Amino acid sequence: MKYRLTLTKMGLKKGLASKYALIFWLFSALISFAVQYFLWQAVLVGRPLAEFRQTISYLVLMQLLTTVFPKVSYDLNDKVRTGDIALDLLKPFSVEEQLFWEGVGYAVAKFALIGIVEFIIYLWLLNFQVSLLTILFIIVTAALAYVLYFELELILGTFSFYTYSIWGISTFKEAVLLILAGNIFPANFYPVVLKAIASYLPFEYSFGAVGLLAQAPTWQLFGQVITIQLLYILLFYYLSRLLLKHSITVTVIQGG
Amino acid sequence: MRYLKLLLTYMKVNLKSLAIYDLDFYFAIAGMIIQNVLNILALRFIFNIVPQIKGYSFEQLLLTYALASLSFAIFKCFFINALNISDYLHQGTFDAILVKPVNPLFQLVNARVDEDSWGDLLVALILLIIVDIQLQQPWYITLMFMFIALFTSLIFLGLAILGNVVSLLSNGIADLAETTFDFFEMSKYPLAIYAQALKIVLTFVLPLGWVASIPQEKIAQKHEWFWLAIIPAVCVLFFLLVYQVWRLFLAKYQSTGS
Repeated sequence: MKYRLTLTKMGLKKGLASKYALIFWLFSALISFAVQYFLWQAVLVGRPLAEFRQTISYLVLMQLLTTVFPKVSYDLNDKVRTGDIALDLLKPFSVEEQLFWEGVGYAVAKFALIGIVEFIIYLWLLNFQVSLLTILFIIVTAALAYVLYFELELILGTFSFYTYSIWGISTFKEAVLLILAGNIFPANFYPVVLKAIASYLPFEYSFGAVGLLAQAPTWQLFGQVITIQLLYILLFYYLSRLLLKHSITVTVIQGG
Repeated sequence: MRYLKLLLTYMKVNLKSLAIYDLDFYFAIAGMIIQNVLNILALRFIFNIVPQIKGYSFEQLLLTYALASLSFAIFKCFFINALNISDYLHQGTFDAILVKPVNPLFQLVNARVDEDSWGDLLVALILLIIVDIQLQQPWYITLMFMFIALFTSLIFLGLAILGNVVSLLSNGIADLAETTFDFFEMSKYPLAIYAQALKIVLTFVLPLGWVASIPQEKIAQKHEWFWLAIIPAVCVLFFLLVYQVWRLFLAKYQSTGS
């Protein structure tokens, strides 16, 4: 437990050390928010204000998750390219654990510097009328979504052992997330067929499902979402370890 | 002439660099094409909710999207390295660029191209042609848009350089260049959707309205041909202004040494 805490602290310090970069990230998030705000205001003109507020708050929540969630595939890629992975493999705990706990610390720093502003905007859009139960639902499902996204990123990161660059595959992932995760476009506006397909795939449970639950916070939906999240986490946990175990055997580090 | 020779050499080296990550390169091309197609699909979903957005039909909004994408794809293909100036400052390699007898910005911009963005460029070009056909625009308007995009990409370059001025001031600690991607998002929609104050900012301060919205309105809708001269002139003027700001801060740049 102690080393996990140390790794989390390391991640936190890393985040706070680059606080200026994170603050500019906030600037970037605010531009993105402005675009979404005006676009959806133009789209939902003449409709009830509540519908607009629901839609834009959903998108802000998605932006918050995107901000906080880890970019493990890039971290792993950097380690493979620079050869630092060799040092990490020598440490007495697994590479994935190092990445996970450092990532948690970094996510806390990102939330403290950027996420909190986005969360306040989210609450403001809903007139600060969000029940404690809804916040609890959001926290639990967002935490599970974080773990699920970490596993997906880890699987993606294993490609770098073969291709030495992750940019292309990440672009591919972004494309999939764009349509199937519901983090750019509100999932409740999807056509029926796409909504049905997305509901079976893991991507929506990393993003869109949290937003949908925030809009309709029922115990039934909550139970359904966390069950599927846990199943996918379990599946991807074993898959990512299997892939990583195999990938590490093909790595060649050129001395140092 | 010397700069042209240098440019050719840079291009040769950059093309050779394609061979390093061949598999990932194909993934990136495919990913970017899919991303563009899905973006268009998302736009289509919006039009399932409403028939028009601020008087713009789906095809008209797609034209704004295509113009912005073409301009940004040109920026990504040729000027993308302008986003990485903070990395040079961070790693201490910026000083090496400054001591060479070639314009530092020329070196920085040409040191790397984004080979993956050819997919973006291809999709934007195809989209522009298809949308222009759907809107029954004469063929020469498509050519005019291609010509204009060469200049509007300078707006993105200018914004990226402006973002890097912050890097120069903070020795690479802070970096606003990446916000160029967010500015691209802003340019994808007509100015009509934004609030009045923001419209003024996007026309006269951060000239993103000139990337797609203004060319579409003045050339495709109103057929006012003199804008073919005004739009490139505005883009060049904005770039030159930013370049002067860059030079000013470059003169004040202080190396961290080592």
